[in-house]
Amino acid sequence: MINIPKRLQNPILRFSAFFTKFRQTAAQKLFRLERRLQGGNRYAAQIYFLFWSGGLLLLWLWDVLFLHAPERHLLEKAFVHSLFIATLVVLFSFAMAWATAYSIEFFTDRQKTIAAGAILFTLNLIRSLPQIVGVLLGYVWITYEIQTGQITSNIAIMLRMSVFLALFIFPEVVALLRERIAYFRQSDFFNAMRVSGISEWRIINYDILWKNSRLHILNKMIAVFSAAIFLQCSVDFIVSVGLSTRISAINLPVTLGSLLANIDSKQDILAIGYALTHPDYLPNLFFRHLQGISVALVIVFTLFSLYKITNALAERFHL
Amino acid sequence: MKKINREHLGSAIFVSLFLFVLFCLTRPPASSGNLPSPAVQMLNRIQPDINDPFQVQLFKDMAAAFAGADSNRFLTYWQQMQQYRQNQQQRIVSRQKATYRVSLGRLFTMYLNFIWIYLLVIALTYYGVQTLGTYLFLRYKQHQPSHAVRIISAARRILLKPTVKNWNVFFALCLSALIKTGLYFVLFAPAYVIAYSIKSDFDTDSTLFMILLGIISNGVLITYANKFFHLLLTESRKGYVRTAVVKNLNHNFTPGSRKGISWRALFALRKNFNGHVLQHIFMNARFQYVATFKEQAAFIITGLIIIEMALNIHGHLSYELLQQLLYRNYDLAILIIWGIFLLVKATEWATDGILYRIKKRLGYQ
Repeated sequence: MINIPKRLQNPILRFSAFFTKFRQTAAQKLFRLERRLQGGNRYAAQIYFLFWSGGLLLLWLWDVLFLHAPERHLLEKAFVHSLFIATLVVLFSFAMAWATAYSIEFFTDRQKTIAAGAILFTLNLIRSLPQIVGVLLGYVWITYEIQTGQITSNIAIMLRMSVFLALFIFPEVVALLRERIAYFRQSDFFNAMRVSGISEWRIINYDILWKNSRLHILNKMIAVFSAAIFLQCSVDFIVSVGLSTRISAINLPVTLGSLLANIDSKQDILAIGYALTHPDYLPNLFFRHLQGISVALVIVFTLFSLYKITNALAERFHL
Repeated sequence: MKKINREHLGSAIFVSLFLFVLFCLTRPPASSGNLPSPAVQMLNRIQPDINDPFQVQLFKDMAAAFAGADSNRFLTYWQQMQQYRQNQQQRIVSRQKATYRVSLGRLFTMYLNFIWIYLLVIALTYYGVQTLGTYLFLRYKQHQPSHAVRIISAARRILLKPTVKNWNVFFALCLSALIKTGLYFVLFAPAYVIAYSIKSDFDTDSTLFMILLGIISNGVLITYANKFFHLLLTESRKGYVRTAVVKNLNHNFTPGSRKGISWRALFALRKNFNGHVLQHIFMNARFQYVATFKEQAAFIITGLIIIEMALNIHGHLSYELLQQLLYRNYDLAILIIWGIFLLVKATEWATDGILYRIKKRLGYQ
C-alpha cells in the first residue's frame, strides 16, 4: 500500500499541490520559450507558415459551426480556385522569367545586342503598364472568348486568368534572376568554370540559379504568390462590381474577389464599420455576418502572413 | 543622361504610335444616314420575319408569280431590307455606346485630376515611408523584446505570482498586441475592404478618402517602410558607421530624448539629423530607396486604379476606363490607357534623372 503523506490526503490540498507543480512546470517552459524567442528564431518562416495554416483552419472550423453550408461551400470553392490560380501564376511566371532571363544572357553573350535589346525593350514596356490595367485587358479578352463560346470550362478560364496575371508579374522575377546571374558573373568562379570547359547553360542553371539562388527564388515565388492573390482578388472584385451588367457571376469561376463583391458580403463588411460605432453590435460580426467577414479575413490574413514569411526568410538567410 | 533620355523617349514614342494606330482602328465610323429605296422601306414596313423559312419562301413565290422572269429584282429588295435592318441594329448599339461616351475635354480634366491625386499620394507616401521606416529602425535600435516575448514573460510572472498588477500588465500587453495586429491588418488590407467597411457609396467628393486609402491600404506603406528599414539596418552595419561611432559621433538612437533623436527631426518634412551618425545612414539609405521608387510608383498607380474602379467613384479616370470598356468604346479606353502609360513613363524618367544627378554629384558617373 502506498503511503500518502498526511498533508496530501485532503483532496483540496492534493489539488493545490498539483496546481503548484503545474504552475512551476508551465513557468519553466514559458521561460525556455522566452529565452529561445529572445535569441532570434531560426524557424520564424516555418512558424508564420503554421500560423497562417492554423489561422485558416480555425476560421474554417468556426465557419463549419456557424456559417450556412451553401455559403461555406461557396467560400471553400472560392478559396481553392484562388489558391489554384495563384499557384499557376507562380509556375507560369517562373517559366516565363527563366526563359526570358536566359535568352537575354544567351544573346548578350553572343554579342547579339539587337535581340537582347528587343527583349529588354518589351520587358520595359510591360513594366510601364500598371499591372491592374494589363490584367483587366486580359479579362476583357477572356470574357470575349466566353461570350463567343470559345471557352466553357472553369479550368480553361482559370488557366487563361493565370497566364494574364503571370504576364504582368514575371518581369519582377526576371529582374531577380538577372541580378543573381550578374552578381556571379562578376566573380572569378564564372570565368574559371568557363575556362574549365563547363557550358554556360550548366553554370547559369545549375551553379548559379540552382545551387546559389534557390532561396532567393523561393522567397520571390512566395512574394509572387502574394501578388497574384492580391491582383486576382482586385480584378475579380472590379469585374464583379463594375462589369456586372454584362458578365454574370456564372460565367467566371468564383474566387475570393468575386465572392467579396457579392452584395451580401459587402453588407457584411459594412457591418464592421457599424460595429466600430456601436460596440454592442460586435458579437454579431462573428455569427450573422460571417460570409463577408470570412472572405475579407482570408484575403487580408493571407497577404499579411505571406509578407511575414518572406520577411522572415529574408532575415534568416540574409537575402 | 542622353542614354536615359533615348531609352525613355524611344519606348514612349513606340507605345504612343502603337496606341494611336489602335485608337484609329477602334474609333467608331460616322453613321451614314442614307435611307434605302421606297420599295425596300415599304417591304420593311410590312415587318416580315427574315428568319422564318416559310415567309422567305412565300415572298419568293409571290415575286415569281407577280414578276415572272423579273423576280430577281424583288429578291434584291429582300436582301436590301436585311442589310437595312442590320444597319438599324448597329445604329441602336452605336447610339447606346454614344450615350456613355465622354468628351475629350472632360476626359482631359479627369486625367489632370488623376495626376494631381497621384502626385499627392506619391509625395505623402515618400514622406510616410521614410518616417515610418526610420521610426522602425529607432525602435529596433532600442533592442526591446518583441510583443510575443513580453506577453510570454507576463504570463510567466502571473503563473509564479498572480497579483492584480501582473494581470493588468498581461492584459495591457495583450490589448496592445491586438491593436498592433489590427493596424497591420489595415495596412495590408486591399483598399476596397477598408472602404466598404466604412462607407457603402462613394461619390466625386470622396477624393480625400481616396488619397488616404491610396497611402495606407494595399500594403504600399508598410511594404516600402519595411524596405527602407532594412536599407537603414544594412547601412548601419557598415564599417564607416562603426568608425564614426568609435570617433565618438553621437549614436544615441533613443527617440524623443534630448541627446538622441528628437521627434521634431523624425517627423520633419526634410529630415536632418546633423551631428548624429543617423544622418549618414539615412542619406545613404535614401539614395538606395530612390532607386526602388519606380517600382513603388507603379504600385501606387495600380492601387489608385483599383480604388477608383472598385469603389465606382463617378467622374474619375479609372472608373471611366471601366465604363468605356463595358460599353465597348475601345478608342476612349485606349486613350485613357495611353495617358496612364505616359504618367508611369514620366515617373520612371524623372526617377532615372534624379538618380543620375545624385550619382553625378557623388562622383559615380
